[in-house]
Amino acid sequence: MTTTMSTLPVVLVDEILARVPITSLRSLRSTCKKWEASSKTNLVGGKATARKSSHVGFILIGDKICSMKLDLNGGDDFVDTSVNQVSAFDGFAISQLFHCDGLLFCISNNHYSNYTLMVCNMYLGETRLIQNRSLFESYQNFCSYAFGYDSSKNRNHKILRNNSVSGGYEIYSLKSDSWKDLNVDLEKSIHLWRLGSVSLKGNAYFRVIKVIEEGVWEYNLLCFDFTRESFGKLLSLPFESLGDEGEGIMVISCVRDDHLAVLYQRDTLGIWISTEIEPNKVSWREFLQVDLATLDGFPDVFIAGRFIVDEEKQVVVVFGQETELDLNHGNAFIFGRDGYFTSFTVGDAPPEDFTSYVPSLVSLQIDKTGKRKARDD
Amino acid sequence: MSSKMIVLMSSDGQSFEVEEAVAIQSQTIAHMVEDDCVADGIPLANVESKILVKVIEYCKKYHVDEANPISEEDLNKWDEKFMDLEQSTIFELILAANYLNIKSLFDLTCQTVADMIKGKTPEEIRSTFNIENDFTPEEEEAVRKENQWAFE
Repeated sequence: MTTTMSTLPVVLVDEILARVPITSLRSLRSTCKKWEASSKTNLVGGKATARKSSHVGFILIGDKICSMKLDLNGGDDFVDTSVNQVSAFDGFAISQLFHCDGLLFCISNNHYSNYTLMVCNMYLGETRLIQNRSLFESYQNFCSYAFGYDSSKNRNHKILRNNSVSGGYEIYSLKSDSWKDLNVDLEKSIHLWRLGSVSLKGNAYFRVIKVIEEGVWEYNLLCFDFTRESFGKLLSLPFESLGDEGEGIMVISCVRDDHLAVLYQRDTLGIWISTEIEPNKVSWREFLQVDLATLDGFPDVFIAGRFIVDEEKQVVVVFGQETELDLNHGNAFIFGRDGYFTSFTVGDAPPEDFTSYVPSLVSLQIDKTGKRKARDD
Repeated sequence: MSSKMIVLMSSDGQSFEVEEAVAIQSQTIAHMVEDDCVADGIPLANVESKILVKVIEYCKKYHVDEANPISEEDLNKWDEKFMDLEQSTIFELILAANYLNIKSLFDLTCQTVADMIKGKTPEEIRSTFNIENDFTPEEEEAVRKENQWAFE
């Protein structure tokens, strides 16, 4: 009897499917019922070796969540992009998007400023709507959020919110599906940047502003530790931003799943990657410095937004932020060494909140006993 | 220089003499050597000679040391040629690598099949592997819709 795919033991079929990249998920699941079922308990792409620079993630274009695949090839067509609006979010106007451990957390606006918080596992097709804490939560969109998990065995995923009205902090636990007030505080001179916290190894990192004296401030980095449920010490940055008062742009991003990258644009655009990053400790190495003024044909007005570091190709992909002059409709740039740059477009509006995506089997279902299903390891 | 040899016996009764150092790339065989039960040869009831020949060829190539130095790039090229096989042989190699517990061969064979799936449409995948489509058209459409987000 010859061995075929159909006669191979299921456990070995699972090993094969684990080595197929996530970009083939739809075809793989549409092949037959056995494969579809298998993919729900064994992560497709979990053991795939990345052959070429392929980045997958989600972005907000306007108020729509889109999936994005970016392939950085060598040669003339340096970048291949594929952007698709995610139909599961049709009817929702999304204003913020976060990713952590294969879960997407987003804030959506339904009708009449009625904001909803949602957590989704796209891979498992599960969604959890987070209950409003009080009757009138129309301010939800103006709060600062962070998404992470603690170091317990089953990883309790949590959402931190800084209530912009009361100034207090509260934390939501996915496991217990409940909110609680958090007794933490920041020094008066430290202000959280409302948008763009990033999740790394379960903890969240915020841009913050430290006011030195009236009219003088500088950027810093701050970590919220979801295990301790407290903020860490102010973390230093590898660039000088004292006194720039908003002229400089700072953006943070993740590199793979174990390091942070920071972008600072003022006269030049610099990217640094952490060599060590913990809630109370960080050290940096420089990755790239670009003098935008010397780039031939580069637009006069460009404000850097989210970015992706590709260490293998030694380039950085930077999405432009929306500006008043609106010159950056959906433009993105790739910067390399020795003044190399190229541009490409992503949709009609500047993409925001790009988050890279790594699928997981974290379930959002609450079983009958009221406990969240344990995560499959 | 004399090196210790052991005898591997395929399911169809053929015997192969192999250097112990080469053979113990198989964790299964390595454990048997440790337990000292290889004197009369090792019967491999699950591996027929046609496949065992390929396994031994792989292990010999991957027994890299000063006497047999080889770059990773060259090994990758060799892997490609080595895996130019009929589908059924590849599956049998997966089974053998699993049974004999040779991790690198197992990774290589599984990845080879995974690469045959990557980038194909469901119809192409089914045709490549002779898989029956057990979805109704409505079910298949539902699966496609559910996974519309998935980066293709």
